[in-house]
Amino acid sequence: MAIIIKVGEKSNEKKVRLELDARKSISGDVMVFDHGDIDIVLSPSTNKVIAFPKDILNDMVYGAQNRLFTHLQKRGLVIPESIKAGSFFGSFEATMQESTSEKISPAKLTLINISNFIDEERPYFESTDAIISMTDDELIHPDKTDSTELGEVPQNVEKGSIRPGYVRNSYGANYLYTV
Amino acid sequence: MKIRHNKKRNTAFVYEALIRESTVAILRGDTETQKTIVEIVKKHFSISSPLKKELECYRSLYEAQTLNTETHKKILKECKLQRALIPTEDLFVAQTALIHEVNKSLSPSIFKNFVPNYKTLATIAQIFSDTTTPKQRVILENQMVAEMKEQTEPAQVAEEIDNVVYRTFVKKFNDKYEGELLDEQKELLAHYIASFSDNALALKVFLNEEILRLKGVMGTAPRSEHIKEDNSMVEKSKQVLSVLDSYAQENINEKMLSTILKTQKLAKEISTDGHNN
Repeated sequence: MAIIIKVGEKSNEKKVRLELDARKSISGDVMVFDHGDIDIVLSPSTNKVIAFPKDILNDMVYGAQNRLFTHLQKRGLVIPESIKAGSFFGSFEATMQESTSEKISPAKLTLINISNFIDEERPYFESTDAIISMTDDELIHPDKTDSTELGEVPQNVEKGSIRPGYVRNSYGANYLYTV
Repeated sequence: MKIRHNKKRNTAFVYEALIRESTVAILRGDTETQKTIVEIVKKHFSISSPLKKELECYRSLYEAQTLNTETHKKILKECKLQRALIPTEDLFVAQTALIHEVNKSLSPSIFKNFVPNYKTLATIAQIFSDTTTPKQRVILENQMVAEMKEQTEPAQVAEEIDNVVYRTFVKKFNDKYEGELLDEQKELLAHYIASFSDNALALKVFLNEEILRLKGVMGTAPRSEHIKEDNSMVEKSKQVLSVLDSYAQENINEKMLSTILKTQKLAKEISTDGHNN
């Protein structure tokens, strides 16, 4: 059996494999789309990490942004006082720490930690997605207890409490109060 | 324009309402109602009956046909003529008999059935009516011809653009805006055009930086020599700055892009003039 012996500095290098839904932009920024509430941009050119809301701006989005930057700050990857709101649509940004050693790339380390952060959060945002999809499914495909067969409730011209022809606006019955 | 008309006297409406009720009866498995409706239709809409003749006049107008405008006008003219040839009294008697039978054998609620093209049927009824004024009649006839044309024309399908057309378009666009647009404006437009591919993230990154830069320029503007002498300009600069600040809570829209494009030009003007002085 052949034995492979690695000699030199590279023999101790640890290989890191990340699986992310990410894309590199023309400017060299890495855009990570994995998270359910936010899109994360890692910009090695400007030395920044920016988090944008995916679609809407709400407390859940702010919470995710807050947790991301706390996560990166605790690991010493971003400058704590640089964490601030951006200029555009609920964005948050922070400047990455500069490395004292040429061998260590802050951008690479930050990317690994962003991946770790997403792995930690994945059960939460995936369960939220599952609940939303379950609610949709309950409305679109209700089970037998919540639905009737076609034709079980006969067709009728007038149905329910809101009958056509009745005035139902705010001032609909104000003539009752005229003197 | 007349808003209400007696739908029970609209032969096509009654016919459509009966057909719809028959469909409902078939789906429900109510064979008795279905048979009654078929009998009524056979009895009152037989070939020689005035109701059948009037129904054909209606049908010629509201059913989709792939014909040109000239033919549509001729059909309308012919329908009016055919309708005028039906004796009014006979038609009235036949309609009364039909309404009576529907009320008696079925239910008055048949007339409350929803018929999707009821507006078109009402328009045709007014065209055929003797009480419609000449002006109203001409307006309604034009409306009818337009509707018939609309039914004929299929939905427009986007044509595939070949490379020559695309290159010509790009060349013309570049020629027109060569000296007009600033570099930063071109960059913004390029990001906006390509924004469909990445949830507009590259555009958001660009805007995040660009708005910050513009805020810097507009923030220092009131201190520049030319602006600080003019109070209204100082006030306007502050207003622009507050608009830019508001974008921290706003998602991308065309109004915002248009404002940023204008602000980019304004910022360039302010900084260029500053350099010149």
